[in-house]
Amino acid sequence: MERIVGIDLGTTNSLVAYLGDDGVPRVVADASGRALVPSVVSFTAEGEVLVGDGARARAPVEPATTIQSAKRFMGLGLDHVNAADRQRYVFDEGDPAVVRFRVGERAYSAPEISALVLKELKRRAQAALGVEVRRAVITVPAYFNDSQRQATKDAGRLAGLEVLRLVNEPTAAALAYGLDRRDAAAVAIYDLGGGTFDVSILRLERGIFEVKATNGDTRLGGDDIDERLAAWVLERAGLSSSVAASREVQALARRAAEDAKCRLSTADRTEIAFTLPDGTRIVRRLERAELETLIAPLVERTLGPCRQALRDAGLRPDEIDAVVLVGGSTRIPLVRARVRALFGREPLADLDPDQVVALGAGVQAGILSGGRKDMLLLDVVPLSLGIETMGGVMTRLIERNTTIPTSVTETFTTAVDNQTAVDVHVLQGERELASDCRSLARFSIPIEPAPAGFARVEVVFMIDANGILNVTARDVRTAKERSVDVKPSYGLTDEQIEHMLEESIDHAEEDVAARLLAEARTDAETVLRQTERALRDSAMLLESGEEERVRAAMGVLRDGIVGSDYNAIRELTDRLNEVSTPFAQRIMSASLKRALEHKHVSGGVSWV
Amino acid sequence: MTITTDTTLCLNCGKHTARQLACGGCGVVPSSPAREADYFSLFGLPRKLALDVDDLGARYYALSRRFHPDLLQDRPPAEREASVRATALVNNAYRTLKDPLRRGLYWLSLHGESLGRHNERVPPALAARVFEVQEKIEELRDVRKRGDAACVESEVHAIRDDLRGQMRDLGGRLVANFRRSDGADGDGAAAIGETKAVLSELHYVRTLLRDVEKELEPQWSV
Repeated sequence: MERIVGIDLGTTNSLVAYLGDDGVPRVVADASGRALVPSVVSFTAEGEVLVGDGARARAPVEPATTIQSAKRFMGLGLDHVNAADRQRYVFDEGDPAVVRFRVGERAYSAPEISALVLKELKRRAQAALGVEVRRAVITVPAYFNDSQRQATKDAGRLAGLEVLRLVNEPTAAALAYGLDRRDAAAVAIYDLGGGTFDVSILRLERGIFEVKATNGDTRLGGDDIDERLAAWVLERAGLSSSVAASREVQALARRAAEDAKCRLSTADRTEIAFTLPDGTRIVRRLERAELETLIAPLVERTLGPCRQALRDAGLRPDEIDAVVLVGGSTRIPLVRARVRALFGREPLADLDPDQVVALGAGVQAGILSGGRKDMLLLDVVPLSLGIETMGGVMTRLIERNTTIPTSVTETFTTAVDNQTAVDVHVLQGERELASDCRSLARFSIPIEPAPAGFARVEVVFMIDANGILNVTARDVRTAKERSVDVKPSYGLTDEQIEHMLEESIDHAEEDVAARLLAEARTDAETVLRQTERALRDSAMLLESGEEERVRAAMGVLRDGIVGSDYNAIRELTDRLNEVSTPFAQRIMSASLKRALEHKHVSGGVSWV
Repeated sequence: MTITTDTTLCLNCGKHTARQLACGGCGVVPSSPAREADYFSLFGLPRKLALDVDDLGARYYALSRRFHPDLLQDRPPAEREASVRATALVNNAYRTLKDPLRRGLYWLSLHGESLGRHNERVPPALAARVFEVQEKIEELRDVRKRGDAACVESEVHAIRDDLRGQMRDLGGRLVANFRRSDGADGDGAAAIGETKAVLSELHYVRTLLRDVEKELEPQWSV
């Protein structure tokens, strides 16, 4: 018995949820009823690793070895580290492509830090549910690029979780919010969290959640507000610049700023107060209006992406039926006021903005495990994808906000006589020049030499339901083909991740081979069961001799399953899949044909 | 647009392939003749330009419920893979048909036509407009570098509102034209010509509007 869980891996806090047997999502709380786990990891001098509340408590005391907001560095290089970060942490400068926090003799990448948080969530979920947790849905900011998404998947893997799906945070919020909503509605989700801002526009209709557009800013959130307020109070405290610049003082000020900010969400005035290591007490009065003046430019920055998302969705602000607030920073009255002004209606916050994303992740976990057949999420690619063409131009093949899965084919030709190869440079982003976009992959395809303009190279972009991009290039005249699964790299290679996995204590303790064998057997049994059912249900689609061939492959797999070589079981499973592929395709074709013949689709939508 | 007339859609794998009996992508012979396997017939709709977008949406949701891989997690892997391709095809078809401009271009491609062919001439009034707007955008960029851009900015805002109005008018003309095209039994060529003219203008105005909007609200870098 196992259960798929949904995880909100937040910048500030994380939590885990699941879909109950009654079809209702629930968050996992600890013994004292708290569900939020601060996304903080602290390394003590004694070699102990603290995660969550215990770690957070150490932040002002040991700022350099207490890693907060690791999510801000997921999949990013040292060029994304700012002055405030440098003041606080010690970074390993060895590899500029990956941010690594130096802690004593060791250096930790952001995925490794996040993995420690995920492990804690996994442990809590297992304790609460009393079953093994092996697979998860994890949420990411809608505006995360492919590298940041890959880094999140790697964090899951390092924590011993198979990441079935990454769901965009605002989409997850919509899943939780629209669970009981049965009327058609256009919904805007405004998600201002600790470190990121997202906005999504969705259409909800009878269990279908269609994402129309999404936009955001991956480096804008409540942390920036704390940062700004901390700088403001330190400026006015009359401290010597060396004291004000020290890591410890900065951390103390940030913590006091955060607390004051939270209080000002309900009070009109408060005090920012903290004690310096030398015993000096810093106290500063702060009016809500002062805070608002200070943070107005940050709040303003969220409105541009909102307008862009509306335009992309083809909707005016007054066509939005509901605006949902997500993320702790939406408790700030100024944020609510600006959102209200933009959409011309009172935003909704009836679900706890801290929990709504995790609850939605729990719902998607439920959909993927077959627990909610009535719900379906139609998600989009957040950023355009394309290839580099003549003159270093980004030519888009898939526009942002295209619903996935999707597939696009485009034919290109050569610019130079007798080229023997064509370079395919896969890009992501909205800018016109290739150099301004993110490079995802680069490969070369050999072609038959021909005069410029005569060669024909067909490029196919295919994105599956998980958002994984596969690019195939083919010389049309020779039919020579080359295909790559675009696995975004962000400085950490597969080998390095493998190495981390081997190194991690958890995995040294358990018998990896035994686990792999158990997984291979489970997979084989699943495929056997499914094939058996297909043979029974769609017997009329079998060609002569086909059932015998499929049954033979099933027999070999059944015999092989008792063996202890997991690789052999995998191969036999693949073999069965291969043999049954034409049959499966016929089933799909027949089903599509039936759908086409079904003339009154709109009147007779079946409500499963 | 990536759809050209010398390719056809394979219903099995969702790829565009050269028109032939079997799909080059997956080798499967389509269950229905290639000519019928267009985006319209996929939704069980006649090949007509005027369509009810809400009805199209309902058909799209119904097909999604049937083929989306998320709802077929308990099926054999090969079938799930086929469902990914079927859903990709359904998604692309919906994206194309729900938008009047894309739908029009696709409809033209089904008739062996495209905007590029015999339509290089931009109407002079439109060309002048494009030129004028591009200049204004340049000017805005210039004054922004120097500081106070409020005056030019409000001019560009006015241009934007004007273009939006033009888009609405063109949209109305397009729909009216779609109805005429659909009704034209004998004189198909004239209908195609007219549709092309409106689509071409819409295409220019939309590109222009996007440029203006982009300039007024720059994207945050990722």
